[in-house]
Amino acid sequence: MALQSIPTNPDTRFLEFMEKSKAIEGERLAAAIPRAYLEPELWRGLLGFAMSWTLYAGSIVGMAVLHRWYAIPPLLVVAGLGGWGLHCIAHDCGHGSFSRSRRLNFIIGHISLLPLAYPFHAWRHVHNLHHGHTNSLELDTDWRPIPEAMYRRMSRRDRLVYMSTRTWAAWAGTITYWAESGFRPSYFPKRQMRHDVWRSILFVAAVLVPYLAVLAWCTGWQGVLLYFVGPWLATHAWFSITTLMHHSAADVPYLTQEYWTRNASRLLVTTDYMYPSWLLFLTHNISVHTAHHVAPVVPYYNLRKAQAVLKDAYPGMVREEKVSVGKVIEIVRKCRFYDPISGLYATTPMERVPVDERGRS
Amino acid sequence: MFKRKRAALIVGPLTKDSLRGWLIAELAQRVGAEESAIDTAKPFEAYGLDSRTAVQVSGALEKVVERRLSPGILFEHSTIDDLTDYLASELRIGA
Repeated sequence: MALQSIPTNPDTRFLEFMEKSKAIEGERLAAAIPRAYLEPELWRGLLGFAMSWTLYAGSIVGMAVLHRWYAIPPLLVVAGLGGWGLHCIAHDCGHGSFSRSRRLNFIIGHISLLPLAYPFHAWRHVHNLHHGHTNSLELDTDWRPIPEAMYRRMSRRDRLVYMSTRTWAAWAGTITYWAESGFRPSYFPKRQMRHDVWRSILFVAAVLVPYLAVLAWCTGWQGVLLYFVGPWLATHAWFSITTLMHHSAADVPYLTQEYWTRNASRLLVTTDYMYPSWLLFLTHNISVHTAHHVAPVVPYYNLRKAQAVLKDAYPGMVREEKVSVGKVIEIVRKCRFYDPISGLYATTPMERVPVDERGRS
Repeated sequence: MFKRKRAALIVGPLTKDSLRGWLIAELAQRVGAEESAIDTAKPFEAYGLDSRTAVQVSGALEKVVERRLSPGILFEHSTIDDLTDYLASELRIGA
């Protein structure tokens, strides 16, 4: 017997969403994307890999050579951009769209996630869970909101982490994601997944332990902070804000199994954020994201073309917006809790509850 | 002292019967009862299964069926029979 159906009083925007969801039921969405767009071109992938490593390593070398305090913040932002670009290359590797060789994809993927100290297979498997359950209220692994009543029943520590990463520390949200999924093989349901994750953890340890030891020996603990931890945090900032914006919007629902459908999760719950062209180039088009969810094997350099054909095939279905700081602030301000009444994010401010009534709702 | 308890897995093919058997054994062990005393049509709550343990069972069940499950699955399908029917249909497995 199922629990009470939620949302209990769906918002008009939820109902409109469900209309769209019904309209694409049974459609083969990926068929709209020409097969040629799914073909990887290795040289383009390698070029992106080299460019992002250059940005990442160049900024670190720049900090060491210039040795000026005022150069550090901008160089950290650029190092983060390089680290994030490398994550985007690993993203293609994880989906098999970097090259046709599974082995090469895994090697490049492992190397690309070193700045994040993220074991590649852990990231790959948790990311596949996200693709299999995008915007599922129960099963999505990325930025899934919870109802306020549930929040009030959580431990003090969990409340602190949830509320911080939904407000002032949204830039660090993926650090908890990294800590939860990266080094916990038991997180994954399949035995093979757990083996893969162990192997990747050993790889990260085998490379980073000696690297950080040498770095500490040569530059002291300040060097470790400046040349590794700083860029790591900056990369997480790009990682967090980008992934938060992909599927969070005041009018995009998270869905219970009763309403969740594979097609809607692929086409309707993502917002494509159009960055300036130079930033799209440096982030390997990661924000052109709907086409990626429709066909995860589209390599990053074909995403804009794939987006164009999807917009033609399904008019009014692909959400596209220009990115702005205002948009980021709006999401951080409005998208905090799931509202089981409307089925959308609860956009009203949290009500104050007297201490003695907490945990009773 | 620090040894973590590993969830038991099903030996042999995953069938509706083996799944039901695993759930009976798991529930019996969690609530400290004999397997023969478990009624598969009785709600989990009637055995005094609290929400924390229900989430732990869901986590162990994930390893058995090798797929991600809702942490609240024991509340959504509140008896062993109901849960087995649901999983058998989702996983397309027979008796």
